[in-house]
Amino acid sequence: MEKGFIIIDGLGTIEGELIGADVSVFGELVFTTSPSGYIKSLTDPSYKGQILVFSFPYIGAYGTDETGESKKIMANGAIFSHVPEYRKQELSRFLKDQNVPGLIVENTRKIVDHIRKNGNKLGAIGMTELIDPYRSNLVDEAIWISNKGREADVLVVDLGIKGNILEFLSDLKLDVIPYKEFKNGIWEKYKGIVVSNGPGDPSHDALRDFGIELQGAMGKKPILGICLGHQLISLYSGLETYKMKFGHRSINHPVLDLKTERFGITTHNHGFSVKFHEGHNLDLRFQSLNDGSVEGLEGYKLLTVQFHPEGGPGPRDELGIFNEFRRLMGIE
Amino acid sequence: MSNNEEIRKVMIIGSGPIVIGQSAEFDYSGNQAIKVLLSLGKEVVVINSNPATIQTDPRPGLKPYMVPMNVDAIEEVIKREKPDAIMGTFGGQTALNLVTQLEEKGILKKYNVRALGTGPEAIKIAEDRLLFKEKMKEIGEPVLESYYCSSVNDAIVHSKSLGFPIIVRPSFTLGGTGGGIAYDGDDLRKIVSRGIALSPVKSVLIEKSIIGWKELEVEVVRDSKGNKIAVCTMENVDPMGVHTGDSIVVTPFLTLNDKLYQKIRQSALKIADAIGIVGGCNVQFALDPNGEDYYVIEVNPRLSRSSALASKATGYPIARVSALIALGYTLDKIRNDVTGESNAAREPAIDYIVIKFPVWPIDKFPDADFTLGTQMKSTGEVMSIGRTLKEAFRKALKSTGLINRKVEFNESMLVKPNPLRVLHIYEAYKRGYSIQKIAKLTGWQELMVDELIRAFQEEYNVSGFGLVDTCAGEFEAITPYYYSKNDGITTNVDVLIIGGGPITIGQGIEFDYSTVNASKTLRKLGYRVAVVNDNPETVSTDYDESDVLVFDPVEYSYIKNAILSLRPRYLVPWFGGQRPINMLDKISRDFPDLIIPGTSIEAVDMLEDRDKFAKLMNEMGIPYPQFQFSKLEDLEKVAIKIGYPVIVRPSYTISGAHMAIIRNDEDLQEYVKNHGQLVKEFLVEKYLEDTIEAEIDAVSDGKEVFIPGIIEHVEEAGIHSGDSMSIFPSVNIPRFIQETMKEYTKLICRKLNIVGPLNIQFAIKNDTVHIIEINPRSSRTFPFVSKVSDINLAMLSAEVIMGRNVENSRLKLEKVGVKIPIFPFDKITDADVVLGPEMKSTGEVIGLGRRLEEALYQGYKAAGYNIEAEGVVVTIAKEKRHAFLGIIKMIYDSGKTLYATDGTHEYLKKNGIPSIKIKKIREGEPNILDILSNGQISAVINILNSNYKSEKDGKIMRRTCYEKKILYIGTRTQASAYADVLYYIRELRM
Repeated sequence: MEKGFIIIDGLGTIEGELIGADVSVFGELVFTTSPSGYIKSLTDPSYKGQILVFSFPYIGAYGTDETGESKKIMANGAIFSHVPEYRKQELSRFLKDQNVPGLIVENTRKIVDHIRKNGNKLGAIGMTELIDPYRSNLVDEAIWISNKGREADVLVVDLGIKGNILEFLSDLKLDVIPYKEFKNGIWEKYKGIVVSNGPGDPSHDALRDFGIELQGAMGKKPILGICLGHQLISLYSGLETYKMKFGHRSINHPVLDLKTERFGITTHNHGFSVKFHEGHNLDLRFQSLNDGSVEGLEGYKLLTVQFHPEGGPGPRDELGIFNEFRRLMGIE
Repeated sequence: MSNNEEIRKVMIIGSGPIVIGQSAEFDYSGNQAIKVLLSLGKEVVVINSNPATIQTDPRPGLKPYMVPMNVDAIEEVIKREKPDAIMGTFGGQTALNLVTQLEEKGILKKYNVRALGTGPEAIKIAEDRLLFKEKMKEIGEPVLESYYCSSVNDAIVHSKSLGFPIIVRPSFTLGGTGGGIAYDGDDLRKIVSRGIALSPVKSVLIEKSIIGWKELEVEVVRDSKGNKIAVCTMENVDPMGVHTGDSIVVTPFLTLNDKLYQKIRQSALKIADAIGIVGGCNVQFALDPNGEDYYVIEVNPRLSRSSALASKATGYPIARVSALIALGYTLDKIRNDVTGESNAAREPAIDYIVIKFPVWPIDKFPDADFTLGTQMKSTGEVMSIGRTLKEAFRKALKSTGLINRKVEFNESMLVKPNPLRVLHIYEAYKRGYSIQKIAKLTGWQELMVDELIRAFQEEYNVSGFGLVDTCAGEFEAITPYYYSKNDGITTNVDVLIIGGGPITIGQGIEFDYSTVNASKTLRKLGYRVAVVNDNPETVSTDYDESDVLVFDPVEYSYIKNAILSLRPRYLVPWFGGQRPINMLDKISRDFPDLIIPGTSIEAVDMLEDRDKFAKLMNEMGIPYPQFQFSKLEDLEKVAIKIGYPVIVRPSYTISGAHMAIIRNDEDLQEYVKNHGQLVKEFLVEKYLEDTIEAEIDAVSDGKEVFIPGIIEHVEEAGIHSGDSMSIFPSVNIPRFIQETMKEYTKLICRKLNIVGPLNIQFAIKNDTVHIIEINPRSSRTFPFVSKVSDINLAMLSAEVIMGRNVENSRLKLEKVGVKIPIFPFDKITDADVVLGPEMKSTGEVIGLGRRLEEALYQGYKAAGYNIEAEGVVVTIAKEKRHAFLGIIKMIYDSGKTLYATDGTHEYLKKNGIPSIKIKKIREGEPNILDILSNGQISAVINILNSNYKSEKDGKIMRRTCYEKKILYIGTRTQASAYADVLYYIRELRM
């Protein structure tokens, strides 16, 4: 057994068993309580810059044979409470092949309690320096796909997109471009635009040009914004965003649709949120039943969601977002 | 919420006696619904024939009716109480069927009673397999090809298109009673004909077998607005083919990737929607272990065993939420009691693993076939919570005692699902079988095999607790619900109560009843109370029945952790039956400063240790049956010395396991053959024949003793007290003998300074009172006596151990109660049905009345006997006929048609009583069995001569009676009681 350690701001050093790559990493410490889809979580580009703590104590149980949300592990590192011995080698190899360290510490509950009480903290595996990942533009590290065909209907902007979003739209003809190529009215020839999820702070300077171009498209083309996409649309339509205490992650969040007065269980992965105020030209459409925070907005030719209707891992579009977007585009 | 405001009074239907397939989980579910209703200021009327339930405990706003669970009896209560609404989804299949019948017969409409929760239409779709199949096809959910058959021929015809093996499920039976797996045409004929006979609608369903597929369950809660969540997912470790009640189950899904996980979850939600569930339901699936195909197996449109498990596993109270939903609340408006701040809309998350492990009565029925299949055979279960799967497994092995059990390895026991399969898996591993090979043979996932084997080999340190909080730490929790783990948290309590553990034959719901009442009482006295228990089916493990709930094995290493982590001042072992008592030595040795309030450990020891007990009885001049301890090799010598008949049992036992009455050398040889392997040290005791047995439940403060009355057994001595029909207060035992029993009780209590609850068993032979045993703890009959006397003995006991004095008041009892045992012979189909010193019943019903006959009549009905049927079968051994003549005459005069076997027929004829002559079984067909199967029979009176020994015809007759729900009478006391009841019914009619 190889020993390793993690240093957590405010909690000190916790020792554990190192699996995967023996490399040092830093990041913001976040936790998910999801019992399934660990490969999807590890490969979710929104975890870029973060060390992901799995509070469920049985990660690795069904092996690594699961379609990822991108082509590689995106989280900077992973903390496990327990990995079953029978599958440990397999998970370790999966991490090692992609040069990502994993640390098995017995008591992840202590870390979760710390984050809940004190907010997301910085941490480092195998090194002592704590570095704030938000200083760099994490989106650039998270984008992974560019795919243009002929006569596509929908333009998908990659800010660190999850593969499941593309899966949900797979019946449509899609062009997928990295966010930097979203300029000069490139969007004008499409029936609709999807602005993807991604990591980091929506107010990061590096996203400004993209945001301004997005402003231009609003109201002209049907737009679906998911997670970071939702935050950017909000931000560039005049709302504010803020960093939450420890954010929402996991796959069990109830979100109320104010239009139907029904809720659905949704997957979340966000550390920032949107401040909404009455009188704004967008309407508040979705709201968290846990803390009342904004979970989505609606406007002319516009639908945004803070949660992940695509699941991956988690419930698959219980609130019917993708169909609603299809209706916005006039595609049934 | 219009529902809520209009409704003033609600009727809740319970599940009746504990039987295989319906255990204490419905007391838990019903009780949670009751708590909701009372907290909203509703009046509650509870129907349940099982006196050992918390839900039938009277309290402000609640009126229990312990009446037979049938439409007529319930209609009477409705007429009287005029409830506005009825809830039928909290009492298992029994309640669901009853409410369906009440609806179909127009009774609900007639009295303007609304059925709350999932409506009759939805229930019909979920319950009727054809409608269900249609609905599933409509919404595109895959279901198995299957056919309803009302004859063996139908089944044979359809078997051609299905192909073997074929699963047979009788319609509308509990726990799959009478079902099975047919591997060929002969099997199919046998199982189908039995299934049709047992089904109340006389039909069975046959379908393609998917044995070996993963069996999955999802607990769904849906509100009237269509909001829904999956509270919990459960993966059966044993693949399809084993009834889920008999399967080891883990929570959540462990071997499914997210795609499959979500596919199954989504399908469950969709199904709940399509059916129109309002409240909780359970959806079962089969999933191809090597692919992505799945089938929907069934939906339970009600609270269930699984919903109780899911609630305990996650901390999410499904029954409470379902009750609120039934009243019109939506999920987003229901507060989460555990975290206090969020709401009931979030799906629970856990950061531990939960295992459910069934408990089977294998030691009670050593000759029965315990191969597991579609017929559930377990009587109870334990749940264990571990930080890891292997730790949870180890806890389960400790809870069930399997960790200390040995088996002789047999490879076929890996292939054939059976209660000891986990031990064979470990043995196979020790013999060099690879994990892969074991997985292949058992059908288990390799991962599960690996974890189980680790659980056998590894010890896991525990210190402190982990938290069950519905959210894995994402929110602050306010309800302390704990399980032991390493490096955990600690807290402080005043009192630690040890609960009763899993429900087995002999250790039933009665002890949970006492535990809950003790906790309630001590909290009322101002103590901060913790309860430790490992049985998810219980009320005592509901998170608000104690200040601190510790869900952990009732096993010493975990009790020790609880003591260290809770630092209680007092430890209370008196209410959980024998299990906690067995730990007292260790507890008092390791924790000398811990106060065990009540009877001293020394006094307990004096009563438990046979030698000390004998010395005490001798000293006090109280008669008791002679006994001697013996090694296996000296058994014969000792038996002869004491003189046949004797009772032989292991020197230490719970509820008569490996116990038998031995009348001669031949019996002894057979006993040694059957039990000599397992037991080496025996207790040989004189068996007092032709005695009356009686019991006293009492509460003593060391000086005064409160004795509510004498419990009289209707069976002769030698039959385990738990299996005996009992009358309270005694009607037939002479006053002076009753006084002697009370006097002995007081003498013993004062002599040993007994403080708290106790139970004494007596045998009376020729007017001499013998004491058979004394248990200084709450007993099986505490709830029964409490319900008849209207004095809660468990509550009184809890107060007394904390210092309250007992008043020496004479109680004036206004009712008579009859307790009738319920046996599992319809489920364990090859069990020996002859009663003896080993307890065999799983539960009980109560009959109450102003006089004995009324109570008996109610009791018979509650037990499901059709006393009013016209015929009575009589077969009486020659030398006993004279003694029964008067009774038979009474039965005849009450208007019954008598069917008698040859000799009895001639004898009755000679004495002027007409009867129809029938053949005995061995005399050819048609015979007595055909009469039982086809005829309208009220009772069978079968009196054998005294030196009979499990005679074959008698066994077959008994078995048939149990299967057909016909009253079987084997003693004069019973026969006479029965005749009295018939007279009483006649009086009622006139």
